[in-house]
Amino acid sequence: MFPRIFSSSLLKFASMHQEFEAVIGLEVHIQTNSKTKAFCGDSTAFGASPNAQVSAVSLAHPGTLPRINKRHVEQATLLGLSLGCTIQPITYFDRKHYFYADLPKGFQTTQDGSPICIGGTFEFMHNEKVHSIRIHHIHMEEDAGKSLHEGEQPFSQIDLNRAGVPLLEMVTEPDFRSAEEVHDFIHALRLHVQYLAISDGNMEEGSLRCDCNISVRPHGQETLNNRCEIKNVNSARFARQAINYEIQRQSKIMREGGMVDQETREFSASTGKTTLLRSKEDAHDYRYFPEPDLPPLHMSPGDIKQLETLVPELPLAKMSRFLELGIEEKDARLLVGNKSASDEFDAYLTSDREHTPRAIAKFWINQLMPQQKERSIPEGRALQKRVREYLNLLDGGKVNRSAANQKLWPVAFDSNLSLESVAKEIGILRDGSEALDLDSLVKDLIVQNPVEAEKLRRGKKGLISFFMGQVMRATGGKAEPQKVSEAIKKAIDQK
Amino acid sequence: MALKGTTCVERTRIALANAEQHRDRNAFVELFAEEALQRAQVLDKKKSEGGSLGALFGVIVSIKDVIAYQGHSLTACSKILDGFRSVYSATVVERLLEADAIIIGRTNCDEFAMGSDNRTSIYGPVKNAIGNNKIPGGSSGGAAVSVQVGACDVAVASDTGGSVRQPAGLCGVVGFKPTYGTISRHGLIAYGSSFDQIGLLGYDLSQLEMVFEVIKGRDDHDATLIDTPDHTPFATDEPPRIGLMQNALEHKSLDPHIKESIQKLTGDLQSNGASVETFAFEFLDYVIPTYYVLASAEASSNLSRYDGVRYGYRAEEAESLDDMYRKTRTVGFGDEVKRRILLGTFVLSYGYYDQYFGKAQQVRRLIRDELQVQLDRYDYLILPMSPSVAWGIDEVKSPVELYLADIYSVLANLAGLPAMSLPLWTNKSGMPYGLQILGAPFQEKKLLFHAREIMSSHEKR
Amino acid sequence: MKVDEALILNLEKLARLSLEADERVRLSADLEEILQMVAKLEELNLEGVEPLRHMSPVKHQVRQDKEEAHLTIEEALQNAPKYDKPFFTVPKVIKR
Repeated sequence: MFPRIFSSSLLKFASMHQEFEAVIGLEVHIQTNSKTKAFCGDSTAFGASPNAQVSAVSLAHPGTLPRINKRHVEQATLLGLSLGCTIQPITYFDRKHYFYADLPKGFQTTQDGSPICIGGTFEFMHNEKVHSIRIHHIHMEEDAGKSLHEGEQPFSQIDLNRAGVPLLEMVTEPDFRSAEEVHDFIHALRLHVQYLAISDGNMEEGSLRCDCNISVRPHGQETLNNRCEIKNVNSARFARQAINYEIQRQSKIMREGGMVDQETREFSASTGKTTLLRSKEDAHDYRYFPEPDLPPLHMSPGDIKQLETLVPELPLAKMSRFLELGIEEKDARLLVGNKSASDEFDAYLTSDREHTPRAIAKFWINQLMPQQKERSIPEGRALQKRVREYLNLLDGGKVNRSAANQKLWPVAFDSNLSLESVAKEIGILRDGSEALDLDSLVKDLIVQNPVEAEKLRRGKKGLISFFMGQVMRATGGKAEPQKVSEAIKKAIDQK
Repeated sequence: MALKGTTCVERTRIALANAEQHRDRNAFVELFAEEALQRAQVLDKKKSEGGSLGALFGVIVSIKDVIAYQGHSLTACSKILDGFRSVYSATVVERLLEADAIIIGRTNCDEFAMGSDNRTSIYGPVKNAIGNNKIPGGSSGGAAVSVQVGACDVAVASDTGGSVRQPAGLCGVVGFKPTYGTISRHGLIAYGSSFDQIGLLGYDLSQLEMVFEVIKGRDDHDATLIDTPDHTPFATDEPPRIGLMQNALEHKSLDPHIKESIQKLTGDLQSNGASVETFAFEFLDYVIPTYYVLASAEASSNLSRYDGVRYGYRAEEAESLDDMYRKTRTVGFGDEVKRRILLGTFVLSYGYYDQYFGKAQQVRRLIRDELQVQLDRYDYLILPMSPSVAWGIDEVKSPVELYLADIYSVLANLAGLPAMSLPLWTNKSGMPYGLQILGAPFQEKKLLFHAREIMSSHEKR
Repeated sequence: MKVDEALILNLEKLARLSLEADERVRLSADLEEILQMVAKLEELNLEGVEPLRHMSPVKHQVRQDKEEAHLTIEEALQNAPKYDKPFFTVPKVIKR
């Protein structure tokens, strides 16, 4: 697929700069936002005290049995449907065996033989273009607990709150060719799962982690060389760093005529390097077999259809719709990148036919979203009502736009009074008497500056701004520039 | 012997006295004497005050040491669970208590229910109450003997490859294993998850049926359970159609006396009007390999959790996490358990899965389907329970010899079928042996009906 | 199937066991005998037979995403051979 996109001349051009091509595939672990764990009713809330969110099941006490979380299945299906995967009518779980202190059962319950979603593609923006990578499959599994090795004490500490937390693992085809693509993909995937409302996509809390499989080969070579897997990279930035390091490392080995060993490596954020975790010889023998305690899942076409209706408009679709509405591209991108803000924006849009989407978008980007970042403000109806009231107040000319943006909007949610009353309270409201004062103020200024007035009358238009500045100084910036300029013209013509 | 006595307290005292009197049989690893008596008092009081009584009011039960009871020790008769106390109760225990049964104690068994002679327990072997120094069978040897000595009305145990029925047969009590997926396994220590099923031992079929009714059925903790709402008793005047597994009777390992007894019985049944037809079960010689591959694979996985981290025994002075695991598990598990862990690990390991595990799963389908064909034809199937009567505790047997002795018992577990062992006979030296009957899935009522018919017609003769 | 030392050592490693030398000899012999018995399965023609993966006739058994009772930290740790409240503890894992 890749070589056909680039013509051979382009390849030659590329090879002048870089002799090798990287081939990268990802295994992304998405921690879902279900309330309880994958196979028992323990809470999944983040930040609880260690071992406070465990039960006999998650501690793998003798005699305990797993039960599938309905929400987990729905989330997997939803993700699959949103990416055009085929949802398998019958799937089952498998046990993947290895020993580790934070893996209570001695096996992870996962899907090896029959993942719930197969195929599909993920589209995302990369270098201003829509980029597409193929998905091999998506499966359901559970997380392990946490081992803490820091500190002076001669032992490691085990916290099993995370043991059993639901994960979706997305395995891509090796379709990535650069660290930048991976970086942009991870950001796009994060937004995608937020749109589906199946995960918070929070990388600091480990909601998105990925294993990166990387190999390099001379440009034009069809077959794949040995690959290395970098485990547990937990941010887009680290993924980019780790992959770039790994490409350099492998290229160097190849350049020196060596062979890259197939192995598992880990990335250190502090050094920016990858190091050997285990060699191919030490590779795990996971001894998968079907989990006998969990009956197979049967997904009927009806179930799938029902879930299909829950797939929302996705980022790329929203982007093109916003562009069609005439919203400026950079504004549209900012809106689309914030799921909740763009949802509020969409809801408001349907209720306001008087202002253009472009103008409303500007307001959203420049006024609303910055405010949302700093403080919590009302949502839904209450928000819409205030926005409407504010935009109308601006239209009516009763306040100066920039003064209102600076002084009125920031306090718009601090009071239950009408915005007009608030404007009056903080002294930026213009009333009728002020309009009268503007004419007499201009007349006064003309009398006080006869030379300038005369020049203006004779056609030296630049002097309008001279008088405008005088008016503004006298009114403390409250006057509406349009009105001031009209008043000046009127007064000059009357003379 | 059946338990006598009128009040709960009296019956409990008698049961405890019987248990004490036969302490040398080693049937119990723990008696809940004080607790059981207190509970008996509460139950008697409830009755005298006219309170509503549960379906198992005053029924005294023992539980095998693989069934969780909150606040009580639970060890699977293994060192690796040394000191472990369960933080929750098995569904069966909860239901027994809700129905006003009295739990008298934990019974001895083979380590992790792996064995056919109850010699692998960390608490030492159990002795059959009949005969001199004979094994009681296994793995639920303690359960069978707890019934034998009159320490309970019903013993609640587990049956993975015959662990309820085989000792029942060797001890002369009734053993009953329902269909896979009928009784919740929540709180039952897993050995082979696709084989394990709670089973019951006792003398009185009606009592077994009552206990079965109470403990069976849907439980949110066990996803493999199927709801069996049918509580109506089964009865028919139609003479039964019986299938006799002829090649099981012809098997070289079978004691000729047992063969004769079964032949005589089927003759009697026929003269009572039953139709008895013979059939050959073509996969008989494959059941032991299939069972040991699959059950050991599941066991190797189920026993991975015993690692010394969160509970149970942990080896001291480990140099590393890995060293701790290895020392803990090597010292914590006995030989038979290690043997099955190694076998199970092997058949799942890289390069061998298809050849062993995958193949055994295929054969399991053939076995199940073939038995289903026979069960479509007959009301129930007849076959021996064990190839021989109980052997001496000191008799040396190789693992494979022991495994092969499970030939008749593992069939029901491989196919998930309900099965019973009926204590019909004793040999010249007084050692009991039983008849095994197999029914169609989820037709326990029908199987119990026929069991009753067989036993009463046998007693008449 | 021959159970040689390399094989038994690998199984011990996978199962986290460390057998004593005599125990290893004994269990290897047992295992070899068992595998010999198991080899009987080779006789069957199993072409086209679907493996029986699940014994229960139940399909699609799921639970609602509803929180259930947790153990207290004390209950969680009460059976632990070693702990440093609120953590379970194990011999130190040395990070590279």
